[in-house]
Amino acid sequence: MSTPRELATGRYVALGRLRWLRGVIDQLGLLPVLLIGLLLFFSIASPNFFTRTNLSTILTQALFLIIVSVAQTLVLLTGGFDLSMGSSIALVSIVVGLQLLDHPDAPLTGLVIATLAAIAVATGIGALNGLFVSVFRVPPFIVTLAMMTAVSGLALKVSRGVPVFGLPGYFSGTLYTGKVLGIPVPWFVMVLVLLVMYLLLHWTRFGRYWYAIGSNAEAARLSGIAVRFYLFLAYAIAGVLVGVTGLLLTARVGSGEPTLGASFPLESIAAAVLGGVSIRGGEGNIFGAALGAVFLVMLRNGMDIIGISTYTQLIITGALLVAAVIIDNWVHRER
Amino acid sequence: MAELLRAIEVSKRFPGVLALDRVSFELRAGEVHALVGENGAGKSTLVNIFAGSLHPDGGTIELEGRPVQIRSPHHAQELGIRAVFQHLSLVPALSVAENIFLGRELTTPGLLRKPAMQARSVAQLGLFDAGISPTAKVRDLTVPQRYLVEIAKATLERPKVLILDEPTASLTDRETRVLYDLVRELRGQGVGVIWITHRLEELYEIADRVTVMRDGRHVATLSVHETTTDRLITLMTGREYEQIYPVLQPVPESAAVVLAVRGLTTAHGLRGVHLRLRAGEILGVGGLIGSGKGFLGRALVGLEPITAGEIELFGERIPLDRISPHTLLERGLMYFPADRRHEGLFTNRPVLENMTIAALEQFQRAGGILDKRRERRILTEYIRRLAIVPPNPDARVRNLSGGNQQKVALARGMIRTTRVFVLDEPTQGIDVGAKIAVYELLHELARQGAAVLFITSDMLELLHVCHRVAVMFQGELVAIMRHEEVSEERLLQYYFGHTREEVGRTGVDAA
Repeated sequence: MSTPRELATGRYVALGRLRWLRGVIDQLGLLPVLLIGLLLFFSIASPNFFTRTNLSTILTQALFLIIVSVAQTLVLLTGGFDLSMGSSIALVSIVVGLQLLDHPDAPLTGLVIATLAAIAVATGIGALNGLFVSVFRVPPFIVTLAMMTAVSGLALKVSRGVPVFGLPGYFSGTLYTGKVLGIPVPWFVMVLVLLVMYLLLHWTRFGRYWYAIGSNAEAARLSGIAVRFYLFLAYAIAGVLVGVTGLLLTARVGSGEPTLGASFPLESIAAAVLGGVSIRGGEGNIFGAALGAVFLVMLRNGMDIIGISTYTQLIITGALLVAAVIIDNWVHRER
Repeated sequence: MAELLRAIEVSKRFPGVLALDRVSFELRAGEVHALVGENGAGKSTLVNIFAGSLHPDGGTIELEGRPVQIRSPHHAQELGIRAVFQHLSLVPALSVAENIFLGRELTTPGLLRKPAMQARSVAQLGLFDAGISPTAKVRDLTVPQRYLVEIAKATLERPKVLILDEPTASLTDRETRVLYDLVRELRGQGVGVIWITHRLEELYEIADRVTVMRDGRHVATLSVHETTTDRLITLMTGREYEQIYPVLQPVPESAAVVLAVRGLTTAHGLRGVHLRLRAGEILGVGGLIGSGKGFLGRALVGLEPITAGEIELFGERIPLDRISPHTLLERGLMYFPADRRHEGLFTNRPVLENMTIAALEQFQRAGGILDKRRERRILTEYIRRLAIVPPNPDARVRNLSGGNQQKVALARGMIRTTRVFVLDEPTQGIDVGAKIAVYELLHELARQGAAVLFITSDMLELLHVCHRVAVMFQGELVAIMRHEEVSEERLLQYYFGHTREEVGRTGVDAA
């Protein structure tokens, strides 16, 4: 009488044997394995790789990409993506630079205004993206491509194509080399971002709804979820994170740059996909994406050290991205 | 009649499960041989071996008396075996004629003979009398029309063996008729047809013999005329017919009306539908496909644009412009769509998230943080109560069987303490065992005072599972009758619009 049930259970147990392997890949991608492999390879290939200085350089470089990748993951989870993050960072950088020039001698006022401006600009851009995607139902690719173009133009127009130099010293002194609780400020912010986003995605309704929308928007609507609102919110919150990145990055380079962050949109998508975030939405998590970002930066750093030319590096990175998508397909294929 | 295709003691093992256990099966030229059994019985595995998609681990296949190894779907086609599965192999962007001739285009050296192909397509489609233009793009066709094109494609060069996997599942009544005619014609020409179905009524229309499978084994092969539906169900499930439908508990006299629909009219589909649903009541809604019964469920939650009418839930009239899945859910009504995979479930997410998605408010602590431990505890209880297999809250829903998926969908409504369940074809495509579980669940819900609107194409469900039965015809609700008044003959009369009755007289207020 219960034979069909036994059969079904039998099938499930059988899958169980392969499940742990697929489960690991499902959660993090092949990344932990690849990352260790990469570490070993470069450590053997060059004595200059596995040093305290170099590893700290890698992590400092990776930090900005990590935050953007987390933002990108949020949007990817809902089944979209955001190409405008790079030009958004550029505009933030210019606006922050111009604001700071008005407050050369008032560190507190300058920092508060710069921070608010950065977040306002990038959140505004994210919110506009969200509005077009959710209310007007324009495909994310089109919306964010158009936004990327327009915002990039705006950044160049506002700055007249030249960087904003002469930022007050307190800016980088606080937001790049400054420390909170003994930790450099950018690090502190990154950890905070990871923590808050983890809570939001895995311990609140918001996260459940985003995953649900990315998995099946129609089913989400029938489950009573205000799909359009949550879609909008995802793009807007991603905007907040992009604003934070723009601010920190400007502090790092020490000037307002009209082309800052241009490589971030594609690199963040690559990092997320490498980290097991599905480009179809509804699958993956921010830690995978963060690890993906570390992987990409480490790969570039290691190739630099062993003397692979920049052009060859691009080819290798491109090939790796395709490989990552193939792996993504393999893990997520329907049985 | 000659043995056209034989499987002799064929076995097929998947990791951890014996999908086919020394199954023998024979198909004669010029017969329609039905293949029935619950999901997981091995029907699909068997026909996939015939179609070349799977290779047996043991046993022999013989075609016209000679042993063959069917290497691939392509090889199967060369041997004259064609299969039409639920998942269609049409290219949406190409025309009907282009699809039918895909891969075997007629050419004068190098150039396509489009008029000739279109003419052949017309002849081919003429069989179906379905009004499909050969130059229409497949993406513009309805699902039943696409299915017919798929069959036209499969039968373009008359095959020896035609395998149809649940052919009527996506067809309306009219197209089912033309399909029957086509299959009879092919049978007359000596084609052997394997017809997989869940609808036993069909057998008497079309099949000559029927083979029952269960748990990967051949149970029986019978002449259709020597058997009865009861016997087949017993063979398929190992249960007696009476054990399938639970005993109907009466609705208490005092039960209040929870849902009142008056004059509901939509842009297309519904015309002036009246109905009232009481707490603890299961109201079945039947009718042919195209009768509008599917629109009724969708319209109730605002998925179809409503042009006129009133919806009153628990005595509160809901303004037409506020009707949405969200507002009705907040007031205790949940709609469960027929297309579970595409509209109902988050198939790549775990069972847990699927079940609690509509009830997360209940699991929130201060500051909006979810109490995941409590969520998991309550959920595990539901999984046990509903006997969901595997009993694992972290299993991805896509790995569950259709029946278990349906239980997950229903549980979403139960966890949210839904008072009105609107179900569209909840038992479609699930096996008898799972159907029984769904019936028991619905009765349990009704006993606890929930109201159930049960839209179904299965007449037996209307006869046995519902307190009252409504019939839709051409967008109107043409009759409502009490359980004791329902009979197959009466239902059929209303289905085809032969009789009309003042709806109010036998039903709305009486039950």
